[in-house]
Amino acid sequence: MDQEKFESDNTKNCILQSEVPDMCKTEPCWLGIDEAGRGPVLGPMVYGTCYSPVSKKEELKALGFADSKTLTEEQRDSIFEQLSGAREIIGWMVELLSPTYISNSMLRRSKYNLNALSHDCAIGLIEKVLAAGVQVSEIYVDTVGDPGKYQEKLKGLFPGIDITVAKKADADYQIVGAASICAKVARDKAVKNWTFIEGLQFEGNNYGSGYPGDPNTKKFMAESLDKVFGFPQFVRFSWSTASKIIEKQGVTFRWEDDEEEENKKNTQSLTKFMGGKKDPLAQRHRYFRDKCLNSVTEL
Amino acid sequence: MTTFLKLSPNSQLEEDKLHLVPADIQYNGQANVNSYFATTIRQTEDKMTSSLRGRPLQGAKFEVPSGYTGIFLTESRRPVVEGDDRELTGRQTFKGFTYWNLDRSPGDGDAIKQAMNWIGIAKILHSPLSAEEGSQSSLKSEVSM
Repeated sequence: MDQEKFESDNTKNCILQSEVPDMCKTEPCWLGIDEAGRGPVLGPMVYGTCYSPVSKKEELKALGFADSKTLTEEQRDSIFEQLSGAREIIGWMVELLSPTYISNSMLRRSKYNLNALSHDCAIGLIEKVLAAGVQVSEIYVDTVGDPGKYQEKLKGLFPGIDITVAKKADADYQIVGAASICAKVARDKAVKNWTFIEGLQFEGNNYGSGYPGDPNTKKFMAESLDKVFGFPQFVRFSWSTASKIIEKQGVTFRWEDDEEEENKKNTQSLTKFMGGKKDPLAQRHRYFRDKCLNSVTEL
Repeated sequence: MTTFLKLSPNSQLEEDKLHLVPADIQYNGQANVNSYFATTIRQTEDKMTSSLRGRPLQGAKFEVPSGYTGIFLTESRRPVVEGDDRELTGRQTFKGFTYWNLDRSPGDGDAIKQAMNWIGIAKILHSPLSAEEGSQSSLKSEVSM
């Protein structure tokens, strides 16, 4: 899988895709969706989709797609090769969501949670495949969350298409298994070939699984910490694994929306309720308050 | 307490390297700005973005108003007790910087832009008055807010 496009700026999301097989533009197709790298604190999260004519379901079986997690990295790579070779009957598309994008989305003023982000990404992929002219008649989606609600949401968005959302769909439906392979291959490659825009180098590029218990991940996190900026863009700042380390070992940052967060958590303080202390600045003409002007005769 | 300003500017800071960030960073000292922050800045035709500790920032260039000079002040010795005299030294000047908003597009409502409104008023307030202009009414008419 050529990832040059993603590597040119790995702070940005990136879509990679195969050519659309001609047959997929004329025959009804089934389409599968799966994700890779949802849990780890490191690297991109990848959404993958594969689609193929319904009439070729049997041929697809011969390629032996299974849940990507039960396969080794080498096995996945070789299956992806076969999948790329079957270009007349199967097409794929993946979207790499950069860790910068994930952090920025989850740490906006109005938080965008991972579930919403995942759903939007999956919906975006379906729309792009449809826009490419693929005659999608069935959609199968693997989910970690509540399948019912997600399925209703998709049915509302894509009326006329038969939609199945299920847990472990990658094991039950070949096309989802294929999508999971594409996603996992893309994720593994992106992590392995990660170029740090910060100019950092890590011996052997061994970051471990990206889960907090992994000793290699712990080692990487400890070595890459910058006490002012936190971590390189490879790290998802919105994961508690990362934010806890920064809170403990980094310098303190106060953001202008910190107070809003506090107010949401606590009920109003008693002094505030009682009218609070008189702020001498409040006596100044509102022009100065409105324009954010303070006197600095004293520091 | 008296605050002394010692101004002996001898160099100019590059405005591309000056950033005003929307966080109170409780640290003074060197930081890896070039590798950890400047590398996250992306500029398109109508937007400048960056990422700071995972938070999305949107930025804009700020130019020091003409007739004014930006001065970077440092304090070599912190006051020991309250009421001590303080001495600030200004050796470096600047003509502008990039200011960053937390997840908000820059605009005229930004604090830094608002504060600059004072510049025009100060000019009028501090310019010498001629005899005919001395009345309050004419001053009022010039300060349109």
